Amino acid sequence: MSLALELKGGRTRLLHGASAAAKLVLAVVFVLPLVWMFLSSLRPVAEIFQYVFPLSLWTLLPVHPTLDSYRHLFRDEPFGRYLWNSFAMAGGVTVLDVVVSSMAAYGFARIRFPGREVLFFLVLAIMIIPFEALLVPLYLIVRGLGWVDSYAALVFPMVPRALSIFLLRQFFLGLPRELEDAARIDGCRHWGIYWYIMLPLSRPILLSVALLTFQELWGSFAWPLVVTNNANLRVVQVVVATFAQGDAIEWDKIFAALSIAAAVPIALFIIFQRYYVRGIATTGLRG
Amino acid sequence: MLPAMAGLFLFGVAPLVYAFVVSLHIYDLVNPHPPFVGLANYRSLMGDQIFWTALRNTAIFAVMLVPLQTTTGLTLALLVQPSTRWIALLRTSFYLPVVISYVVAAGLWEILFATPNGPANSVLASMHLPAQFFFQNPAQALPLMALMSAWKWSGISMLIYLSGLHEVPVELYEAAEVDGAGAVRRFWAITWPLLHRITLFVLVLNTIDAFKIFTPVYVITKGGPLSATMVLVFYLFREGFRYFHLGYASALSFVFLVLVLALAAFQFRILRAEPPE
Repeated sequence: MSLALELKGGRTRLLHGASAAAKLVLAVVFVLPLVWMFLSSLRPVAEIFQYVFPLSLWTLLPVHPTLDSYRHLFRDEPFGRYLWNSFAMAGGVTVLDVVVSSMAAYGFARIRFPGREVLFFLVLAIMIIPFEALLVPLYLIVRGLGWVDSYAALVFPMVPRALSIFLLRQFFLGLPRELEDAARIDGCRHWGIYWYIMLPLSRPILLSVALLTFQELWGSFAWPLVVTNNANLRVVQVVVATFAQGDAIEWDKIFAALSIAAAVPIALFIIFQRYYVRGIATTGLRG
Repeated sequence: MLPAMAGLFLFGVAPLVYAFVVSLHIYDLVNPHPPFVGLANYRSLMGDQIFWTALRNTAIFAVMLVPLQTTTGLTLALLVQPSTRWIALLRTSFYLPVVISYVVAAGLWEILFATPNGPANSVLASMHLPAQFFFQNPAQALPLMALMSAWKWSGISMLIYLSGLHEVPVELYEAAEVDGAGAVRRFWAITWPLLHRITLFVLVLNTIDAFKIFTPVYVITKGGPLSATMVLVFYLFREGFRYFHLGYASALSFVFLVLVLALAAFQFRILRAEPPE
């Protein structure tokens, strides 16, 4: 074995070692805070910061595991109501968006109508426009409609999502036209083709779009914050954001609320992982 | 088709036009006839010290976050390259912070970096380092925000990079290996040049996202300490929904919008290509 090869082998081994170490460190950095959060929600209130200092195994693991923090959260706060509001908003937008955006996407992909390119350019433009810039005018429009403090305000302005239209159009454009031609000969019109051919073929992408929409709406914060004042309409994210601002901070409840708010999208993600990756990787757009 | 278009117009296009119209008035929800003031809102914006502070902080935040998030995203993508079961688990763990909401991520970091006895200071103490004030220290708050956002969003950059890495022909690597190129050499000679377009695309996205920073500022610092984390979107939120200066907030929104679009256009000019699809 020549010296050069020997050196190369050593370097490669070193690289492998370094990459294994990097993987371990990064995995810890990305996951440990979340694990600590979930485990802390299983502590009795007196124990929450008891073992943070000095560092030990008990900094991470609860000494007396209990579900009290969750019990207190649902007992002292209308947290069930907040959860329902979050599900209603995210679920409502998701269902409406899938219906409306898939129709629009079909139109963009398969129907020739005047102004199609201009309209589609508009969809792309709206995808780039930061929602934060629309916060004030959108609030005024919704206020003009008399929707402030209503479910309508939480759902309707969020539909349709330009990203959904874009993703679905991409998918429809990739479908072979032969199927539709056959259907057309059999006397199907656009509605029939959309309903009997396109939708059944696009179940996976519809699921991807629905998951992305749900995840984003579940986590949305700025819009519900400005458009609802009524406590009955508060969503989980707004509650969590304002929790730590009272006089007596009840840490156990905060950890329970954080954990529930995080558990919903994490569970969906782990169950439907494949669909998430497909949805995002094709556009590279943050949902 | 029609309902979709109606929705897009009412909640997408109309607000843009409306924002500009409102920004020409003194608009406060109380006065039924908001007086028309022309460009006065924009003029006072130019002389507004807080606006310039917010703009500077937002730019500094972006300068800190964008390179960090982009390089982290690429590093993660390279680490999870060969797909095995363990690697898939690793990829999932890198992506988890993306899935949880920004509010949860911010709340969690607020607790982790609590002073004086939070977990972060506990870790520092175990290394015999002095305790820090973190989010309560004007010099540390904004960099820590950038670190938090990088933790939260690097998984997205990783995914985009992964889709780019999938398109690198395997034959190239095989040929390089036959020629005796090591792993480092292969990266710089093959992978990096081919990822050029993806990198620019990731940079554009991350820059736009960095400029939109709002949620963690609201949750953790409310723009403090000493305006150290006062950023554009938080400022327009405060003007619009705490002080109800809606005309002024609309002017702010419009300036913010033009700024972000100009940035995106500028970067896409450099891109000179369609975004990868």
